[in-house]
Amino acid sequence: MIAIPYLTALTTYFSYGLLFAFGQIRDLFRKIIDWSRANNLQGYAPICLGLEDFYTRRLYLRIQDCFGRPISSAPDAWFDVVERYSNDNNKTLKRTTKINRCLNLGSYNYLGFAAADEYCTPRAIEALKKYSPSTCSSRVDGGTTVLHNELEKSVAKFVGKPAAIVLGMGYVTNSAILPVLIGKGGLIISDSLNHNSIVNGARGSGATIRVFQHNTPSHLEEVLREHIAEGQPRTHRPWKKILVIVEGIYSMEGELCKLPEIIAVCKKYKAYTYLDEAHSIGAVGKTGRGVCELLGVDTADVDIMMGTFTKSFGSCGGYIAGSKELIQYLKYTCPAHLYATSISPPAAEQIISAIKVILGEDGSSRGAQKLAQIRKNSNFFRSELQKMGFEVLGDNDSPVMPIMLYNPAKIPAFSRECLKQNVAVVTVAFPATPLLLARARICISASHTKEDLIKGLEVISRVGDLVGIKYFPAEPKKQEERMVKLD
Amino acid sequence: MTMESLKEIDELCDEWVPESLIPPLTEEIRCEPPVLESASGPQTVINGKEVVNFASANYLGLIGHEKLLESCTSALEKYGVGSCGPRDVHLDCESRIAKFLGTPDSILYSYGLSTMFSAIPAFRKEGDVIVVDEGVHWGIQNGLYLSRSTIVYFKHNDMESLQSTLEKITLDNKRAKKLRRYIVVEAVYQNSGQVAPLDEIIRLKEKYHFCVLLDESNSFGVLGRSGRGLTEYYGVPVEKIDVITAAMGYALAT
Repeated sequence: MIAIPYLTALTTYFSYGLLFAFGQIRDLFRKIIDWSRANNLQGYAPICLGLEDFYTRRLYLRIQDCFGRPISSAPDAWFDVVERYSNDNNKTLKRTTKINRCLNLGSYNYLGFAAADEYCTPRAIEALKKYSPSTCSSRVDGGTTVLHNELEKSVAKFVGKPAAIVLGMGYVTNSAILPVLIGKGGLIISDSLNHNSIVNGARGSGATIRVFQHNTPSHLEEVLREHIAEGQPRTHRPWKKILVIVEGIYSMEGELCKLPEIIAVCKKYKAYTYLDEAHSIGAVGKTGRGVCELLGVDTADVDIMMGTFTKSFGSCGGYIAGSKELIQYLKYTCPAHLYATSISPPAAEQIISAIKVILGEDGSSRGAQKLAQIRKNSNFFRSELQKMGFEVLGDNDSPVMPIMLYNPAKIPAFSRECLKQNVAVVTVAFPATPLLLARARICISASHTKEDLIKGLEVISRVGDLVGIKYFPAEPKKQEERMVKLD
Repeated sequence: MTMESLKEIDELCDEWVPESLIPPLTEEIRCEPPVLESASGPQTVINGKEVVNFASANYLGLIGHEKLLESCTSALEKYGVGSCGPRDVHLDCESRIAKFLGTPDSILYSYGLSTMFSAIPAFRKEGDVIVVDEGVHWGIQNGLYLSRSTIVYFKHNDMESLQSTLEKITLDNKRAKKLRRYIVVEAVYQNSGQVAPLDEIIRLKEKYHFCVLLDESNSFGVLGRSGRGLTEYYGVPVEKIDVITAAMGYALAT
């Protein structure tokens, strides 16, 4: 849990109150102006009523330039951010031809496969020439090529499961598979901070949904006991099945899942487990096999393993890995497999070759070096940030590290000041986080060099002083040095 | 909680037996789809044998097009395979599509199936009324489910049924004027191959004041003189349609 300091909470509430009040005043004037003009709706109901889009109009638009910044190069350690300007107080942004070379602390490019790679890119281009960019058909109607089958085998082998199914988009993997696995009469117990794709998949399934406190196995046990004892609502029939859904690394918190404890609870109560490794597969573990490897969990104990290729593998799409029977059943029933176009062949080849590099099957030790590098980089950056007095969330070894900002005004201030000094960071605010807990999220990559990280730290420290987000006292480094000299 | 009730819960937990995660597999499930050994063009290779391909939605025959492959290769070299945020090329593509269709703006999604399924819940909230053709594909059905609005189906491609449905909604509901009302149809139905009579739909929509969402996945680049889809085919100005969506995995071969 994040404990927000009392004074900060007060100022944050005050800021939002002020923004709300000004927004209301502007809305009032807007209404008066609109009222004097003719109504041009012609009997249609307005698309947005009352306060439905208040947040977008009066809060988000003011700082729109901090989000969705276009870039004009591959998202490597350094990349080109396209400069934009606005003539109407940020309502619309226009792109210029000017670019700003920035240090990239925002992309999920954990292993550095996002940019051209000496091993992967030539192979992806070869696949493009042989198979074209698309198959134009779904997997069952002639959209399955030799590459698709090879990809599924290599993914299954990599994550340590008997079989796997691959879909063309990570988000769809969750939201289309969950309704197939469970339905009415089933119970989904989901971590309170699970990703939106899981939430949508769970809602689409028709099963009853309950939430347990983020990453708290004891609360999961409590929820399980209560619901097994009570059965389905109203009818009190026993549940058909129970599915517990957790993520490997929580992308907004940078925290590792307490997987061993959660698996133990699920086993005790005969619940099935669904692990979403979108951010952890390829990024953590000694050979990049994700949280199971890092925390010493046998993959046989996780019933359904899900992950995406957009992050560590620098491609697109997602997978589900599980028993042979499970995958066969999914291939027969999953709508995203039956109706959607299959994953693009060059993207498939990119994943196959990235896995080969990670496992050292390309005949070099680059994969092992990348994995060692991301671990070293992440732990170095995290400990330095903590020493400076920032409030950093998450666990060691996790390449995602959110820095708490809290106040709404600090979101654009931090983002713009960093960009001015050629460091691109991602800031996250409501609705992705609770209103009070706005943050900046740093993602570390194996392609960052030590010099890159030191430059990033210097800039963040300077901007941190300027914006006032060093909520903890910094470690008294200089004093210690003086003491040593005196001795 | 007393000791007894704790013990009771323990027993209940012990007794509970879940169903297996998946139902038993039948022979039908085990069948494997054909595996292609070459690109999914008009001719393709399966099991070492060259066959003619009627399964692919490669409407314009763009698979294997020299110029496309060239530009794809240079994009791969410059940008890598995966994306991690908006690029200038994505934004350029959005404005090109908008220009092609004649709409003010457009937005790209990374997956055809998810387009409707995200666009519908984005527009509709609880309490809105949506009138849908009963023959729409899964992506739309799921989007409707997630939007949590009131959904009314009309008979597949039957304009009389649509008219009576619209009339009933407008007459029955006194609040109808204040509700947001939508019609969702596909241009060429993925499941039946039928073409929606757009001129008739527009007439009804204007009569009863509904917004129209049109899925052009199978008609974009195919219908109309210059491939601009169903609106061009019927000579309907594109401004009359409120939202147009299309998957690019078909005619555009991407």
